[in-house]
Amino acid sequence: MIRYIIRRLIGVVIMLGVISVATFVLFFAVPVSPAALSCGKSCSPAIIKQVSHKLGLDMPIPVQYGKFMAGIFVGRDFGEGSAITHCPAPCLGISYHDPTDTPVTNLIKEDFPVTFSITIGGAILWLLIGVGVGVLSGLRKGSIFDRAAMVVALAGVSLPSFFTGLLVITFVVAKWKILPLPAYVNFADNPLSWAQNLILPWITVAFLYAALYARLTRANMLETMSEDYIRTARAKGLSEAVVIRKHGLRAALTPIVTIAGLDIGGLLGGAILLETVYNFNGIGRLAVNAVNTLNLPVIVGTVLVAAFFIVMANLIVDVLYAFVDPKVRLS
Amino acid sequence: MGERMTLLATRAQKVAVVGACLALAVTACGGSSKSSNSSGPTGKKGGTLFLINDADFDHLDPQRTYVSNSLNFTERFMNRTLVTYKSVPGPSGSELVPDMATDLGRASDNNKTWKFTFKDNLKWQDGSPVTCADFKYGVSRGFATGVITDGPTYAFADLKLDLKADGTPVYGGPYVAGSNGGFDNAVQCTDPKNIVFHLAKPIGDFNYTLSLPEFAAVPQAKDTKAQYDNTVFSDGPYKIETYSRSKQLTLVRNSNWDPKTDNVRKAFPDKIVVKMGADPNVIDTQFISDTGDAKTGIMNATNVQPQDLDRVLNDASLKKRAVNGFDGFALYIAINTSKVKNLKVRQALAYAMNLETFRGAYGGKEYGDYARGIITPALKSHKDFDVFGIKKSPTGDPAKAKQLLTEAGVKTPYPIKFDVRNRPATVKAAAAAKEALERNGNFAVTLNPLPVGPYYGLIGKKATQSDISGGGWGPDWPNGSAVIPPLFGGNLSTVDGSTNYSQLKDPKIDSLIDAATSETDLTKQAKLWGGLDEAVVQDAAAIPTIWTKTTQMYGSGVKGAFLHSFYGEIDVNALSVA
Amino acid sequence: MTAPLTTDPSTQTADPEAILAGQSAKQIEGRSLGQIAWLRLKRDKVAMVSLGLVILFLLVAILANVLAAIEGQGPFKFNSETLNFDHGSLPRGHFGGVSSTHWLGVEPTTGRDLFARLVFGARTSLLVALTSTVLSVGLGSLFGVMAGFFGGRIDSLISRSMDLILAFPQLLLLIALTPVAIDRLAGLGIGGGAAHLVYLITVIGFFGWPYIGRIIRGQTLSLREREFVDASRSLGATNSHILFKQLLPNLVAPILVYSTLIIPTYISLEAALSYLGVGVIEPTPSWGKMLSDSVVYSYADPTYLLIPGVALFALVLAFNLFGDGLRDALDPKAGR
Repeated sequence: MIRYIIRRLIGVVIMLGVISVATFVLFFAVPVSPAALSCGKSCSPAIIKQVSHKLGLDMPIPVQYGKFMAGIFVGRDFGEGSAITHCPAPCLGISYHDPTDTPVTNLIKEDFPVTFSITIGGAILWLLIGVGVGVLSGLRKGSIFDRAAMVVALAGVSLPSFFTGLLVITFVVAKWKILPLPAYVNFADNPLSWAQNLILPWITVAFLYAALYARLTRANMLETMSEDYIRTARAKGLSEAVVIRKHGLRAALTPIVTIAGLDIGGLLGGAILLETVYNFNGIGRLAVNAVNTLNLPVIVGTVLVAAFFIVMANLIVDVLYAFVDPKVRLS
Repeated sequence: MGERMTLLATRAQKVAVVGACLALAVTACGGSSKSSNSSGPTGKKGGTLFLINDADFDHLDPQRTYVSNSLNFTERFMNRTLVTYKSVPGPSGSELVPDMATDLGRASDNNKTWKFTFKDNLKWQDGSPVTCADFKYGVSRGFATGVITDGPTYAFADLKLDLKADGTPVYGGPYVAGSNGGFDNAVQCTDPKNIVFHLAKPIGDFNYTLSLPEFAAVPQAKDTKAQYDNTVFSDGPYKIETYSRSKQLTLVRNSNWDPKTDNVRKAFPDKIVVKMGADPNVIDTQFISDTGDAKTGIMNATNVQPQDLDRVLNDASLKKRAVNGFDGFALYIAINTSKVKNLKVRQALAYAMNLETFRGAYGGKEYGDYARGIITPALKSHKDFDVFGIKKSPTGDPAKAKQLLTEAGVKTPYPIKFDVRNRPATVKAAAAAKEALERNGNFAVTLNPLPVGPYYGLIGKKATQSDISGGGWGPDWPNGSAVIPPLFGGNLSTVDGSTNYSQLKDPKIDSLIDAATSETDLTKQAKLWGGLDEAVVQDAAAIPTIWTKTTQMYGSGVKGAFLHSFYGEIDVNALSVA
Repeated sequence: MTAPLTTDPSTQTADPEAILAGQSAKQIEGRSLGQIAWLRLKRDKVAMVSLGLVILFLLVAILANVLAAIEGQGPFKFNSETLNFDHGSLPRGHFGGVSSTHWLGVEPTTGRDLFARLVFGARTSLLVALTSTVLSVGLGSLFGVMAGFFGGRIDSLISRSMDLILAFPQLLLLIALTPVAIDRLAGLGIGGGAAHLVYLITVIGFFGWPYIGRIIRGQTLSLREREFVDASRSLGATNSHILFKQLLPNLVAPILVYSTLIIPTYISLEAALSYLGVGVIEPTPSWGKMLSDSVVYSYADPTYLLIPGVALFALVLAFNLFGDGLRDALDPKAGR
């Protein structure tokens, strides 16, 4: 088991390395000099040169990459003389502008709680609702509940999530004034207000995912319950409740765990649409703003962090699997 | 420079325009400083004022601020200057009054030496006195261009300094050792009560330049260099309590600010909270429904969006919570004269335009007036001309365009690539232009939407700029000299990053610019700029499109809101919420 | 099961596994896989209605110019007379300017005809979604089959590549790469609206292939071990024979189902990208763009919001329902 985990961890490190190279190459080939963009209105070639030098952009790309990677482990200094900006490890570079000279790591750290709050609350909601509805629907195939649930689920997967969110803002907030416009509040500051402000984003994200999960769970349930071993279990005289709980659910929900792991990992790297719709300053918004201003270090940083979450989610899911199913370790 | 400061304008780069009071005429409109306080609105002390902003300030570091909402904010709340603008509605808002200085400055040596005397009892937020050395140090920071980025360095260009071969100052600011390059002589603290500026050439309105926060004081001991944005040290009525960049900024009262030394600032609220990063459409919703923070807040750096304009301006209950007026900006389409070399083709472009649909895409009449020049009517340099017959026919004259293209002997449809800033309304307006230009098979237009933030950087790259590029301009000081030379000066035509988006290098225009700049009689100078405006439009180096208006809302709990003529937005100084 | 297939449902569902697994192809006389699926599908009313809807949308897209011509309007024309420029450039008249000239009203601030933009928008949205789907399904099937069939190094190379692509935050990358990619495309001589379309299709298609690649690889792995493959191999069949004559026909079902279900997600993705400002560009209409533009007009002009909203929802729903039906028809065990 430990050997398996170590093997997978090495794989993860290699994967992250390849991703960092790919990201770096992709983005440091942008059409306009980042130094020119960050030197403002009264820009002159001399100032561009100064800024390029300060940001280390006058070095060859492989050297820049080396410095970047070194910065992650030991930190980095930008600039010279008495105007040094220190970027402590893990350093992902410093932001070119909006705000200037701030370590990217700090920006991500600041914004992460927002993304984390949206994701975790949403995930709990959609797992409870989606899986619950899916199981019930699967067990009562063809019932009114099943039909109604599946119609709603279809609507859920057919509406783009940004559109759902905007409809919610338009009606729930602006027109009917049921809830105020959400604005992120730190959990530590006021847990109640935190939850109250997050309820709309949670509902929005959960509407989409719960619909997906309900459909998936239902299909898995139906498939599992028609398997031979279920028939065998029933034949043994086990009560239906025991059959469902002990045999049905376990097999039907295992694939859901995989998908949930990946979805949560993906969202943790930035719930772009949701954060944009609700104006929450999470990692997704940070990334979108960085794209709009071609703020390269922030783009690269957020891409890497998002990739990190996806890769880690994969790893965790696989390790969990390996615990459940020893065969996985051998493959 | 820059397009309207709406939406995601991270670098709208707008410094507002000053209305009626023009340069040199200091005595005429600088007026008596003592009356200014009584003429402004009154209010009660207390409460929290919210500023709802779609983005963070460009900078709060006084030497780095450049966008008008940042100027308004830092000047009114934290960083006082020697002289500043009145806080009153109407054109008088553009009049200068003494701030930290006792008067508007005394010029001598044919306007080449300017001397200011400090008021007594000026203090920093820690109670220490504001000294002449602090002012001098503040000015010196602006020369550290590698660290103190984004500020308008031209503000220092007038000082009498040693220059390098490329025309930039030898002096490199306080963070690097090396030559002082004449800085100590250019900015002198002759004694603790006085500061003297020595200029390279006579400038009659130098005190207007001094109202920019680039000339604000910074105490050397508190200078955190590139990080000073976050740690601005206040000599105004408020100081930073907390600042989470791009999210929220909270100011609280500065107990060491003495209202007796200040004729301008009212400082009614106890606390100022700036909320940043909301979508402009959502900000509209907040103010229209008058809920939450918006109830005791104002729109800042964002204005009412096209879809809400009509409702806000025509519903009496909303209109009474809105300010509406010209913001000093001219939108225009720069024609890249290095690509579209044929004058007749350029004129054809201008005739083929349809300003009605173009302005319609922004929301119609409520968005502004059809422009006929780049210098707006708010300036004295404005000249009322109508080269392309806009007054008679804002929808353009495609037949005339066709005729010009035929005369030019070019193949039609003539291909045109159009750079456009990728914002919804801007791109729609560009689509309107495309449709208009393609009438009669005159042109074949390809739109080239570019990212919002780096837009001006991208079109400023001279080699890759398209045939035409959308732009907007608000002059940095109230004169044609802040419009024509930066947009059409031949010296900038090939400089990457320069604002000459027409890439115009016309000896005739350049000699006229030289003549206007050296004209000492400002009334005559204004006429020359007006003539130049007409000349560049005749030359079809740019198609003026809209003189824009702004509409901003404030909450029902806010009193004293008015559109300030210099800042082009609600003056944050006069507001009360108690 | 050698008896001729009847329409009796009990016989149809009797051996569902066999159909997908491909054993049935030879065993069921006279009926190909497709015929069986079609028979099942025909009996599924919901699926047939949604298929009808999908075909209708496709026809609308194909005949966009004809439909617009019947109405007498074009998608790009600014109709100033329909707008009130003194009042926020909002459409004159009721329901966003609905009239006998403009069947669905006009777009606020431009006056462009919404019916014409809707039918031309269907063309853009379906073009992006269908082409991206072809691209990702094509790549996914090719690499999935190769990985599954050849195994070994080829498999691990392809599998690791899929892991790598899947590890990138896709939406973020789609947005972030736009300026770079558009600049590069311009260098290749592809500019303006075409560049954005090409970009959308390639990146959506490219980032989508590993999903289907994984599924196809898994299916191929299990098929490879089946007796009929062993049998043909022992009879001396070449690799290409096994690939194209044995495996591929058996993979048609999952490929079809997956394609049908991925189209609606791509339609939504195009809409989301337009909302984030990196979709197709003006003046090209697309449903995603119409929707994102119209959202802010929910107060001033609700009709404008309703039109693309309903259209997009109906299209995505139709594809989803049809995809469900198709899956059920090809693999009844997944069950309804």
